[in-house]
Amino acid sequence: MRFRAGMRIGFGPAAATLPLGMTFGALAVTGGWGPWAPIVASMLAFSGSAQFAAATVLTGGGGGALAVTAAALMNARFVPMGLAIGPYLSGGRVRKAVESLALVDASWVGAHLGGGRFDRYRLFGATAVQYPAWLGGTVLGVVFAPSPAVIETYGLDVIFPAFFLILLIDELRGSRSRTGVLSAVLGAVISGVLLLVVPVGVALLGATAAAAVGLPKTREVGGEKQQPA
Amino acid sequence: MTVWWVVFGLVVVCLVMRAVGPAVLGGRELPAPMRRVVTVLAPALLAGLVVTEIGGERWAALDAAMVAGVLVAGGARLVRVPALVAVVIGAAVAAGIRAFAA
Repeated sequence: MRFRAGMRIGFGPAAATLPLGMTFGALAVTGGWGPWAPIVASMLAFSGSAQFAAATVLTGGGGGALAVTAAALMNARFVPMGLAIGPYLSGGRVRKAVESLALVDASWVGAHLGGGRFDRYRLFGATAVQYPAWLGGTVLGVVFAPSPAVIETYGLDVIFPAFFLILLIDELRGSRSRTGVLSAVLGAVISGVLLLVVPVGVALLGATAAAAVGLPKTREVGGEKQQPA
Repeated sequence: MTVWWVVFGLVVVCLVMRAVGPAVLGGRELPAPMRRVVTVLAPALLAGLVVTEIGGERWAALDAAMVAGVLVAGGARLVRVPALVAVVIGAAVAAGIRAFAA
């Protein structure tokens, strides 16, 4: 039941992931990765932001070390996210580490029940539908290599930011937390300013600093997250 | 060969970044102040994702049609339109604006 709830949460991001996966596959092939490297990357790394960062650096003439560093900066946000969800994963350290491999942005948000509590089954359910979409999208991108113009013409580039905005609206509506709203506004401002001077991954990591507004003890209304539609 | 080394590094980085938190913390709960931070981490991260997806590197990807599409999708969700439908509306608005401008 909770796994299915996670799957329902994951369908939306999965629909957004498919064209993004296609874009990554096409970008990697045109950047000289060959057909198998992007597919293996999507299969084992399963991180759109990190894979795009690495592919962009390589295509732009940066070396392999720079490409991996960019990917690491892009994914550094998974450290605090993993710390948060860790106590709600099952088993000892090794099993928790294995279960944490299901961690992606939309699944982490979907698994958040409010009040800093998480449901691991919702995490797994949401990831279970996004993983095949990402991998399948990459394969389609490698095979058909659609141009970025096609993605833009049909407005497919809107899908991901729109879904993140919708998840944000649902998160804030569910928690009814003024601190949450403040955190979101600050996160947007911080990342927006940082974007001017640092890579996207670092700007995104900087946005998480806005969560420090949660440090002081405040009285909040609600705190429990409603079931997303 | 460089590509395969990058893929290897990419996979290692992605696995380690995900696993390090749960592996380090084990079964222990986060202290109360950290739990309060985690509670509002999702809104901060989501807001950052919206901004960075729209802006791109040094705001070079900023595009009026995309902004309009995202805002329309968000507005639709605010009036309780189902999430998938809201996204389709947003994408259609962006596509329409681009078609009109072309």
